[in-house]
Amino acid sequence: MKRWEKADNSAWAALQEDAEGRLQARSAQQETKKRKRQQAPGGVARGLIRYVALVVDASEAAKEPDPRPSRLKTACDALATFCGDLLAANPLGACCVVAARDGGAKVASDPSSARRSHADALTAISKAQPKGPLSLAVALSRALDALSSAPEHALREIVVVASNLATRDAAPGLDPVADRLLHYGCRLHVAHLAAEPYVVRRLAERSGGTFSVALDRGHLDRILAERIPPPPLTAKDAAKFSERQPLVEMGFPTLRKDPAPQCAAAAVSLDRPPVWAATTYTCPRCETRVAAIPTECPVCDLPLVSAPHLARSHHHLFPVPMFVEKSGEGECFGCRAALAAEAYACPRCSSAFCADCDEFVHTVLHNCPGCCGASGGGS
Amino acid sequence: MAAAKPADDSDLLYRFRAAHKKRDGWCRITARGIEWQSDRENKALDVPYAELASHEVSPEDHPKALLRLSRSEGKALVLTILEATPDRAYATLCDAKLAITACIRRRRRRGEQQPVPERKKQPTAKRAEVMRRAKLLQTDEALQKRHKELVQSGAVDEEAFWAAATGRRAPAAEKVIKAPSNELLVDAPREGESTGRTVTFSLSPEKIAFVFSMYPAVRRAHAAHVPKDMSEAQFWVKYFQSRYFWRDKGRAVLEKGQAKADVADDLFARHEEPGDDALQVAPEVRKAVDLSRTDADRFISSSQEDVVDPAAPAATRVLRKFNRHAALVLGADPPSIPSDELPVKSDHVALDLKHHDSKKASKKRSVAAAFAIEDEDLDRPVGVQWSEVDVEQALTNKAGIDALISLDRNVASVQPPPPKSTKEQVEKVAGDVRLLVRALRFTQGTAKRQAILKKLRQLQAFIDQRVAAFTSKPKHAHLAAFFKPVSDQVARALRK
Repeated sequence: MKRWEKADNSAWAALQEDAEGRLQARSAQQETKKRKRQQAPGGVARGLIRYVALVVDASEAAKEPDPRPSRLKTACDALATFCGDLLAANPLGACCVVAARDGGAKVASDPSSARRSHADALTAISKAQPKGPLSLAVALSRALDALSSAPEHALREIVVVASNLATRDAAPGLDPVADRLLHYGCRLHVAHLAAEPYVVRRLAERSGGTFSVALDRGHLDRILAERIPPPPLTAKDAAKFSERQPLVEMGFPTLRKDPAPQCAAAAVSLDRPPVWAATTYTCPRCETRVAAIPTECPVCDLPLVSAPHLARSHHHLFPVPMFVEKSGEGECFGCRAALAAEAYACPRCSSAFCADCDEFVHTVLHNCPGCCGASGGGS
Repeated sequence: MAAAKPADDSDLLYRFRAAHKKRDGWCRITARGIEWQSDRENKALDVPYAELASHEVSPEDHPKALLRLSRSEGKALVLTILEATPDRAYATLCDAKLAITACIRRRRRRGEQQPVPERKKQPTAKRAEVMRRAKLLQTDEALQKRHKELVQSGAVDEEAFWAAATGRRAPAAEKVIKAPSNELLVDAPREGESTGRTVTFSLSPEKIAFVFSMYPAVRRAHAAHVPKDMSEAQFWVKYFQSRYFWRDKGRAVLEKGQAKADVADDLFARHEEPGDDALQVAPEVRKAVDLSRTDADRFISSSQEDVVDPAAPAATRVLRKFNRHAALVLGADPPSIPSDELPVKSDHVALDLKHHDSKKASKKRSVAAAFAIEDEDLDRPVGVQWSEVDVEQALTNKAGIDALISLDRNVASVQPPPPKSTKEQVEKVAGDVRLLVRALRFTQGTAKRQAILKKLRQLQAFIDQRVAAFTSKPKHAHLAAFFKPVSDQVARALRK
């Protein structure tokens, strides 16, 4: 490998030239400004309960060392990170992993909110040798089969990281899969590591999804990160969900801490071996013990969540409003540091924050401390 | 002794020797029902027509002549006809069946026999689902034992068991119809197989079939000369060295290869016939993939002949080759060679076009198990192990706050887990209870639900017994606590 190939090129991407040709690095403030431009407004109906199938292209083209070390490894690593962030930001949802290889496809991990099982499945796929052609029709069909266990009120999505420009599909091709995608209202998001095949872009756009071509690993991470916030529902989806199931039954399990490990059911299904854990959660309906939440009770299928999980989903619906720039006077409401030239004020409580606290409030806290202090709670 | 009609029984219709569970005896078909009496022991069985749901006989080629009488409720009765020869046993069996049928028909005409209720058609799983279930039972001993205890004992329905055991899994994968390969042109060596001055071609029967489909001249040459004039390996070396193979590669490649290519005697060109490049698919497909002419050409020239550019005759040949390739890929059937021409050869033949001293051993790529997920990894507790939670420290960074918000944390245990035997007992009982409680949701009908509740009561009794046993010994008293969660779950299910 040449030295320039080993070097991390991401640092160059942060450099920009000013009018006089001098190099400047993008500052955190510029990043904040960019994020603010991209933030979607609140008060929009979103699909909070998401079932996402991650499809990895493990065909022959995934052996290409662009991006390094190989497209397959890059895709698996990026999807592993994406899966963890997705489940953290959308705790009411679930993920599954499908590997497309040698003209076929296989479900590598069942739909669940267990990040570990998906990460292990992606690791196993990345270690295997890519082989054969890619059949997009079979891969999408298998992903739709895996998502068939999703409840009707869940939003279904398929995220494909593809490497192969060609797809080898038996007759009649991609049309039946396209019809199935539309029938289930499943959105197809494709991140391609090579180039843009028209038919794939067309399929993604028809389903209401997106298509992007990743330039490098960092770009791929950014493309996938855009899929993390729950997508807004279309009017058709909203009407469909409200008609079929206006209310979703959920259970709040009781946390039990025992001095010795107890036998808890595996979260995925009853035919998996049980788990022994000292901290378990008891289903409020059937008293089944599960080892971790959020999950579905394997006995009575009741979604088991906790209040923080719902709170993490709640902030997608009612995000903290964008802070307004103002002159820096006084001290930051968050960290009590003296404010620099630029400060950001909450439009509701007029509390001023520095750039770092502004970033922290919008990306981590999702609640304005000033509003919480003034009203006693809520954003 | 053959079947005979004794004179003393007025309602006796047919009587023959039959065995039941290896006990010899006599079977009597009367107007009231079918009776069987053992010879030696005082054992008798009686199946009145009112209780008879159906009767079946074994086929003629079966080694034994069997008569099966199914009751509406209860176990079926199987009788083995005892006769000197199989033919006579089968004849007796047929007579017995006719006699029973006649009785039932007569009773129905009189209105005495209730019509056999149509069995509710159980939703049959697809073949793939059946295979999946069988495979699960073979691989999972615990599931197999549970299936035997619950389904075969009649506590839970088959469908309810599988709906409960496997939860909401994805449906069984249907057979994938793989599209035909588009690797019909075995012209270029694959990457990694050419080492400097040596070009290695790896042939498989599939690739040979493709070559034969794409180039009928090669197929004819193979049929004519192998194994009469040359061996299989020699034939393919000659092919890859021939001008026929290299003719479309371009002038530079051709000139370079001419020094080594056997241009004087092109074995394959001799077997060419006109029409080898003709497309073999429907006209609309031909029109879609025909690169040699456009719609404008067709409009001008109404003939079906391909337009030949006099300035570049080789181009025409290349166009025809690609047309043929596209037509074969898009054709209905994947290319295959006739069975009588199937070459007898090894699976792979690695050929060196040029001799060189050091031969690189072909790397046999062994594919790692891509989809093997270690089951033991699923047992790992999810989340972070915390011995103490430093809240102030955790609040300073995003990961710490996430961990505090998330409830995926396990407090370090103070007491050890139970010993292996107790652990297995708890796992088994807990698994049974969960399965039964889940099956209760899928079970319709009071009778079946009562059967499941009865099983749950039995398990409750077992749990109480174990707890009492542990509690009686101070040394093992702490083990009783492991059954508490299961006991609570059973109590909750029985209360509903």
